Amino acid sequence: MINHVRNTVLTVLNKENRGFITPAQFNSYAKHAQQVLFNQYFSEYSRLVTMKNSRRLSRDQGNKLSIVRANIDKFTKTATSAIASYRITKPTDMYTPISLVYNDKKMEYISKQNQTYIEASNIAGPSALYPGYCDEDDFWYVKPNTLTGNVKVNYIRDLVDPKWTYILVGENPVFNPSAADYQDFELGADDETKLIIEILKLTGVTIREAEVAQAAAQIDAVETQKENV
Amino acid sequence: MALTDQQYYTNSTNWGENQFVLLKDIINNFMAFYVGDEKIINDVSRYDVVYQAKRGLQELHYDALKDVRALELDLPDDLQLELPKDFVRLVRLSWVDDRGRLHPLMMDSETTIAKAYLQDDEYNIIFDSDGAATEGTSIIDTKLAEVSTVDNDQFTNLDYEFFGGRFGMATEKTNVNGKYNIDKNLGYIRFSSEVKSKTVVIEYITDGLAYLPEDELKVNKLAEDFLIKYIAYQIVQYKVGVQEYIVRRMKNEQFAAMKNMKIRMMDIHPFDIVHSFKGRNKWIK
Repeated sequence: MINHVRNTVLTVLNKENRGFITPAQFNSYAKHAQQVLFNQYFSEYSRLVTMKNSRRLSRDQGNKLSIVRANIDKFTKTATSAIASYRITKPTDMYTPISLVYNDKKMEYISKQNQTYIEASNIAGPSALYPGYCDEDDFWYVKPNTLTGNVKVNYIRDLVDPKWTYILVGENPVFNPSAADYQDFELGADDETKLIIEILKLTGVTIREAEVAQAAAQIDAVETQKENV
Repeated sequence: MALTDQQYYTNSTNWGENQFVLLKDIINNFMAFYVGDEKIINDVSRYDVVYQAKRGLQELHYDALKDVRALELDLPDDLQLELPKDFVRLVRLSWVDDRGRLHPLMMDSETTIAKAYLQDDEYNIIFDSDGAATEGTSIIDTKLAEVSTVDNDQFTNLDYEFFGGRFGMATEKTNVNGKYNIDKNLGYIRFSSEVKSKTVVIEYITDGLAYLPEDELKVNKLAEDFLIKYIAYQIVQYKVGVQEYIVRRMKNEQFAAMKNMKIRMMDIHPFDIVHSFKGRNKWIK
């Protein structure tokens, strides 16, 4: 997908000889665009839930909520982390946690503001049956601190940075998907158009071609408007 | 998974378990089926649910379940017994006779459990180095412990009966079985000397939380629906942004569930009613 995205972007840019971007610039914009769209999944999910609750979303083929959910679920991952010094280390590739599970029991997040009250609660404090955790820096502190063993961490992982790899033929870079560091976009094919628009927005600024950025922004706005109807 | 007949009957811990549902299962089911993006309660912390579930269990035990527990203990010579660990309210105190029958005791309204501060020759209270009053043995305790069993069992002290020119029986105080006082703060029961050397049975109501480990807390299945609706109502009641009509609906549902549960738990059978009415034409001579 990445080669097609790059070719489309270059085609748009080269029309009327507006300009050109290097592979390094493209890779940088591609990473940014992918992250922007990924972040939008979550706000989009929240928006669609609100729409569904107000009966403005169809259930079957048009169920965009399940499409977005599936897009997010693609990045879920499970890791096991051992409790040491009352805490576990967060996975290094984590975007956001989904759940922590201790002995098949879901651990509940305890905010720092409420920690003292909840731990002191005589009937609802954290226990081995209803375990909890506090978030601090790169660690999660388990509650109660008598817990030992492993914690299963379900989380959404970070995206891997896309990389359009190439070999030089003469002075021209030619796409080389066999390179060891090649990495395609991780988002689904249905996001290809959005990726192109997002990259065009950035390249329009780089080549000082306001029309490109404006056109991309306009397409984006029209799409958003359609989705909100 | 359902137990086989053999598994059930050969393990006494399984007997009667089908009457109950575990509290942890109710909490888990509540989180699974009542909380979510497309539910009225879109988000709630499990601690809130655990808290409300346990509070609901306590209310059930105080109000509806009437799950009376009994503890049998030999009375020591000082005529005092500690309250049971999960004690909330006393139902009945009795001593056990040779045939295993219970003889109920009465609350002793003519005495009490009192602290006794030590005093010097001039009746000043004696304090220790920390400024706290020093305590001694109550005269009430001493005197009650000195009363012989025979005096009270036979009730030979007629002077007391006729003191003040009163004749006839004071029925509200008449009880040859003995009496007791409870000090709820210090957590013990003091018995009168009639009960000396006997085995006593304390029947009491518990809150349902203290006598079982957290993962074994349970409630009768007939009360399960009420408990779920109680949790839901308590949560929406204090949740910001929930429309008042939803709160009212949940309140009504919870109230109706409580009524249903009480009817289900009443344990009245047609056979018992028929049996009682069989004596309706008996001549009272």
